[in-house]
Order: sequence, then C-alpha cells, then structure tokens
Amino acid sequence: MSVNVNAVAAQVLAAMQGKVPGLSGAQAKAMETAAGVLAKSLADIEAYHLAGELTDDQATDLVSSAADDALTTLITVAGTAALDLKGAVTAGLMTLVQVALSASGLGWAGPVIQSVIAAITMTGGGSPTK
Amino acid sequence: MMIKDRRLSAALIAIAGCGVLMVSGCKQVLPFFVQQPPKFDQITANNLIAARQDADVLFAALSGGTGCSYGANTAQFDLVDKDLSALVVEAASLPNNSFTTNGATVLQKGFDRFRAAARSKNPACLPPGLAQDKKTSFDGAATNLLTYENAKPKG
Repeated sequence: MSVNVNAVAAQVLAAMQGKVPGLSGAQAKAMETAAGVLAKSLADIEAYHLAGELTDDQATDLVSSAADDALTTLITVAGTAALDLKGAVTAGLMTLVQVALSASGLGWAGPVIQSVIAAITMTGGGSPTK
Repeated sequence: MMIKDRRLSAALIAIAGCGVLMVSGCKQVLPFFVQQPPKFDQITANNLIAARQDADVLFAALSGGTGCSYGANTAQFDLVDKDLSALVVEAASLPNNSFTTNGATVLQKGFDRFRAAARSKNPACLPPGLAQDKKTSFDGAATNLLTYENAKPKG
C-alpha cells in the first residue's frame, strides 16, 4: 500500500498539537518527522507481510520496534517541553498511531502498538529539563 | 463572612507552617516537593553517539547484498546491544533522569524487537528496505535523545 508520508506527518502533527499544545518549532518538527518515519515503516512492513516475505511474528516484532523508536522521540519531546510524561506521551502516541495505522492499512497492528503504549504508562513520570 | 474567616485561618496556618519548616531546615524538606532538573551527562552523550555509529554499521551491513543475514552480523548486533545497555545503566544511575532513562529503555527494547525479527529470518536476510527504515527511525530516536541531553543544564 502506497502511503503519502508527508500527508500522514502533517495530519499527525495537526492532531497532536491539539493533544499536546504549546510545542516549539523544533519539538513539532521532531514529532512530524517521527510520524512520517513511523508511517513509512508501517506501510513497508505491511507490504512485505502481504507479499509473504514476513511471518506474522516477524511483522509484529518490526511494528513494535518502529513504534518504540517513535515513542523514544515522544519521550524526548515531552522532556524538552516540560510536559507530563505519561499524559503527553500516551496521548501523542495514540494519536500518531491511529493516523499512521489507518494510512498504512496496518489495522491488525493496533493491539501490538497498544501494548507499547501500555508499557510506557508503567514506567512512571520524571523531572523534565525545564 | 464565615467562609472568609476560614480562608484567612487556613492561610495563617499555612504561613505559620512555612515558618516552622524554615526554622527546622527547609533545605532538607524542599527536595521532597521540588524535583531538580537533570544535568547534562557527557557519558550519556558519548554512549548515544557510540550506539548510533555502531548501529549505522549494522544497518548498512543488513541492507547490503551479501553478508546481510543475522548470522553474519551477530557480533555487530552484540556491540549495539552493549552500547544500549551501557546507556540505560548510566541514565538510570543519575538523579531525576527518568525521561532519559525511559527513552533509552524504549530505544533498547525497540532494537531488541528488531533483532528478534532478524534472528527469526536467519539464514535469509530481512528485506533491505526494512533495514533502511530501521536505520532511519533508530537514528532519529537516538539523535532526539542526544538533542535532549544537550539541552540539559551544564555543570
């Protein structure tokens, strides 16, 4: 499935700015880039999965891996913007994933990424930079 | 009037309480209420740079035509694992550093899942496009962690 990465990134950014307001230009750019990278990764995984080059387990591992990288970026954005870790990251990743999943046709991966989100809600908050 | 009196009483009690705290040693009590921001850590920055460089070598090998299997790259996988473990241990050892610790832990977890997929595909290679995708997302995540580290107050 072909994905317009730029369109997905813009859509994710618009949705996330509603969930996580007050982001600086650099923070918004980091999120936008992460959204685009995640959407492309998910679309590529789905394409290889449909072509029979990846088993379900391999595709699941790769989806989780891609979501974890996006999550790492969200955590740094939350830290730099002095946001609540759990609230900002959970809202951000949920939004990012919903848009990316629907754009990439990878609906089956929703529960996989939900488990990534659930994991971060258990790792606690912290003291942001500022 | 009654409500105003109650508010005034509460405010006076709070002020009196603060006075007692100051006399008894605010410096010892305050850290329990106000977390200090984390400080920049050079070792964390170095660990991130090493992880990114070693991962770049790995992803280039996985994207290549020959020698792209998991079996041909276990040593490089181990090296990146070692870099990420050192990063997590260092981050977790610093006070008030949970954003970096969380980020590093998640980065390591994501790398482990990628490794599991590559191992499961062995002796065949992962599709080169997926190794490239992982390189892009891993680089981005590690770079953002480094940017965050550099934004912390020095000294």
